Amino acid sequence: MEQPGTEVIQGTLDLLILQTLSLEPLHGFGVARRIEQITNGVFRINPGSLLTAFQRLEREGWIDSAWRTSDNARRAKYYTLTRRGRKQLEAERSLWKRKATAIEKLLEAGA
Amino acid sequence: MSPWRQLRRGLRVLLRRASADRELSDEIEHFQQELRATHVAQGLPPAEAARRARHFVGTELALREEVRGAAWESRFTSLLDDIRYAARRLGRSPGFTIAATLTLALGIGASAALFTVIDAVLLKPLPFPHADRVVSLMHSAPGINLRALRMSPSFYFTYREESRVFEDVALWVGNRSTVTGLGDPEQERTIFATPSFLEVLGVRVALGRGLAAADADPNGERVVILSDRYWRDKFSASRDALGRPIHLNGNPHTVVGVLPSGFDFLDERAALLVPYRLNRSEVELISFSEDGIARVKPGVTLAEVRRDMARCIPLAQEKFPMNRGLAKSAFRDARVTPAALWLKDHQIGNIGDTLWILWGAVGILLLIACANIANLLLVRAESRQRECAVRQALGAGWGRLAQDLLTESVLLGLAGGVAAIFVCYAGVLWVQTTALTSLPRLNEVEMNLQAVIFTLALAGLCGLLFGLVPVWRQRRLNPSAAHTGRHVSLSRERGLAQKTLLFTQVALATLLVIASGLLLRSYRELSSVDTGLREPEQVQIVRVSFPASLMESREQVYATQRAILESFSKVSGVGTVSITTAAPLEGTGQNPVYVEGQEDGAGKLPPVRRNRDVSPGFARSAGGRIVAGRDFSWSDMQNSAPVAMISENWAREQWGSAQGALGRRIRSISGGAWREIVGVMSDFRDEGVTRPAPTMVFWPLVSKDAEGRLSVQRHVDFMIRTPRAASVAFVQELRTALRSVNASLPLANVRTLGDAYRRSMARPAFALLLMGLAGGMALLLGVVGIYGVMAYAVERRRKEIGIRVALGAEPLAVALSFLKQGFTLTAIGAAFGLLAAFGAIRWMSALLFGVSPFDAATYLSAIAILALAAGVATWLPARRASHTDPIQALRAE
Repeated sequence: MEQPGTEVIQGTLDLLILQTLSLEPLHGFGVARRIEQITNGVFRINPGSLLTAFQRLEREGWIDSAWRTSDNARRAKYYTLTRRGRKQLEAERSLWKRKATAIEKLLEAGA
Repeated sequence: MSPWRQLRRGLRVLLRRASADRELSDEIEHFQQELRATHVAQGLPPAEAARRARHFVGTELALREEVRGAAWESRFTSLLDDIRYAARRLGRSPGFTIAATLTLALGIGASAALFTVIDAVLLKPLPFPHADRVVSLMHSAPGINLRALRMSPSFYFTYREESRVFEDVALWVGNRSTVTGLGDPEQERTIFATPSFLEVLGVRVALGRGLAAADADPNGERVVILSDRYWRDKFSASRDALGRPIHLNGNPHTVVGVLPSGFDFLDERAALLVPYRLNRSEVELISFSEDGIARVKPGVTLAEVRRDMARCIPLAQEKFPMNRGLAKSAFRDARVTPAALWLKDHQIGNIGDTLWILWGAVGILLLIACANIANLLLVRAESRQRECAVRQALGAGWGRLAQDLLTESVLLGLAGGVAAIFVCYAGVLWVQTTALTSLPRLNEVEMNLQAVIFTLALAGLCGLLFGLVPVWRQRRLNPSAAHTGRHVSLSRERGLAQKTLLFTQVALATLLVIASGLLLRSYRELSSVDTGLREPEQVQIVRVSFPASLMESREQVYATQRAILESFSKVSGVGTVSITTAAPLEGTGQNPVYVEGQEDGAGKLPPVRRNRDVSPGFARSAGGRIVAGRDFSWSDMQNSAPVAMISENWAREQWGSAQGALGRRIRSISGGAWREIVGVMSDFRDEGVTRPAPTMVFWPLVSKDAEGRLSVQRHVDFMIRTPRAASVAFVQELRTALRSVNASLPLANVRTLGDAYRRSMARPAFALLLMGLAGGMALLLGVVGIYGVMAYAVERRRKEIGIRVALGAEPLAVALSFLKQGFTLTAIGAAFGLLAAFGAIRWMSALLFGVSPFDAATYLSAIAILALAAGVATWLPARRASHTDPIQALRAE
């Protein structure tokens, strides 16, 4: 985490979190690390945004949480994707794909 | 689903704030640990790893605030925090808090109490199902100069049979009847009414049956319906009361029903409802001594009612024979005109003027109180200016700061509101119990939930009102204010806000002081009115009735009345005793009286005069004088001599002098012989203190009718002049004296002549008292307001004054400059107040008596009082300014 990361694109944090949790339940740091690793450090998420997003998603009913003991024997709050969350993920995913395709096309046309 | 979950989670956080906070802290802590572990794994020394982790995560508190702040419930918790903070701030300045709370409590409480009264008396419909469709069938007769003419049986039948707008019509008359056979004989208020009475109002009996058409049959069984209270008092609320006989005026009446509790028709507080037994074939055209009510068809307006009544009135003279001795034209010449009123308006009369004006005054007082508190809050906001500026610089939004400031003022308002509930309660209680008010529908006035809600709502509104002033000023706060010291521009703006508030305060106070002054002058005018009756407090009045069923013989009635008079005269301390059909001020009939030689055209109706039948000694016992001729004598009574007395104003009007009336002859409309005027009595105000003395005629208490039979009065008042009037012992002695003459006659309606005058003064006294209180409070608040502004001005200019004093300015000159400023401010405020007064005071003219709404003396006195108040309020700060020690003043900054 040496080189400065990029701020998460506005409005995509939810998608990133849901996508990450769709693989397996993770605690907060786990989600942050996973996103950073997968994006090769492009996205660095600050804990404030992350926890605020967790609170929001949990209240929407898309994720659930429970305290568990982690692999390294620390107590951590693990987040799980709910069924409704999975549906939401599909929706956000297709929305994102449409957006991304559109932007790509726009960029190609400009080049 | 989602909003519900939001709410549930939010509430859970709110309810278990500590555990939610702990959980979040744990999560942050875990994040930091993991991060540190990662750094260590990457080969960083532990201390550096910890530092970086801490740096990346940030402080736990800030993070927690960030996460929490994103949830809806945080607005709520921040409000709670604000409330706690505001309460603590208020608690730190108890002087300000108590003063502001009390001021508000008085202002709001008085407004709410008065509103409760207004609501019960003026706004709420009468407590009858058909209240909004019932009219009172009043008339007037401009042809004989009669403003208020009531109802007659002839009109009752005519309206019933001919009207197109009435669903039902009822005739009623309020009276007293003597009840015997239930313990001691007693007189009870009784409504005699046609059987349609309850149906017109839409009232059903609570027990038994209502009145049926057959009950009005003069040959049928006599029945009575009891009021709820009478039923409880006399029959212990037993169902067995039904079918029981009670004796009214000596006749047995069968109890057939009980009225619902709370039924009170026009404040009559009647105990009994008795069918009015009318024989249609005996009804004559003219006899307006009853009252009428009617229920109109839905949607009919008062104008339509009056139009239809006007159509019916001429029909009455076709249907009913003219009274003996009167020509048909007499009826037409009287020009009987409908003057129907909604029953509610009939009952409340013109009290609305008084109540609304007083409410206006109390409302103005409340505004002044708000302005005063707003000014104090401005000073407080000033002292917090730096804090606010820092918070703004740190990113607090204007809304957040406004919420903070408003919380304090709304909290203050609500504290005032809670205290105001007690003030309101006390006020309502006072209005209920004080003899000062004599309000209609007083028994419907009560402290209720609505009053509490009104009080609190008003309190919240006031809190917002005076809270918005500092907020509005804060909106343009410059964050740089946090850094620099003093701010001339801000102070000037504040000064302007403060002065505007002060002008408002002084102007409104001026208005109230002038209004109080006018009412005070009115009251003094009223008090100094010569009523024509001296020492009314020393006249005891009692009513005794002699129903035919108890005492058949007219000779015996007269003999008994005379015996009672003699018996009363022997009670110790008693001066003159007399008998009359109506004590002064309690309403008498008005009938046309013929003057011999003045009859132009046979059968034409002459002007009406107030009339009463009196025994010898009436003038002396009432406190009047015989100005010409002589009083009636007992031999006049004994011989039924054809004599009469009239009032001085009539004598002067007709014959130029009191003496001129003597020997003239007059005759009552109801026929009979000509009677010679043997005496003229001084005038007295028989229609209340505010109304001029009417022209009056006094007939002898006993006379002979056309057939030569003795004519007596069966319901009479004894007027007893004595310094012992109103004492319990004295009334007890009267009872004993009455019983010694006849044990079955009750002593009823015990009062003094003074009571009657007090009642007629009650409304002006009530208005004066409330307006005076409002005016006094306004003046006090005005003084406090001026003092506050001047003290602040002195404080702000301390340095300047110090320099001036150091340069040799005379202390007196310094003081004078502040006095001048104080007077200028007051003068500007008072000028606005005078303008407002010129515009507003004329609304008050209904409450004024004997004084013009623009009475110069009152206005000048009000201004003098204000100037004095301004002087007092300015003097203290000005003196402090003149005593300024230059060294201290300069060192202070």
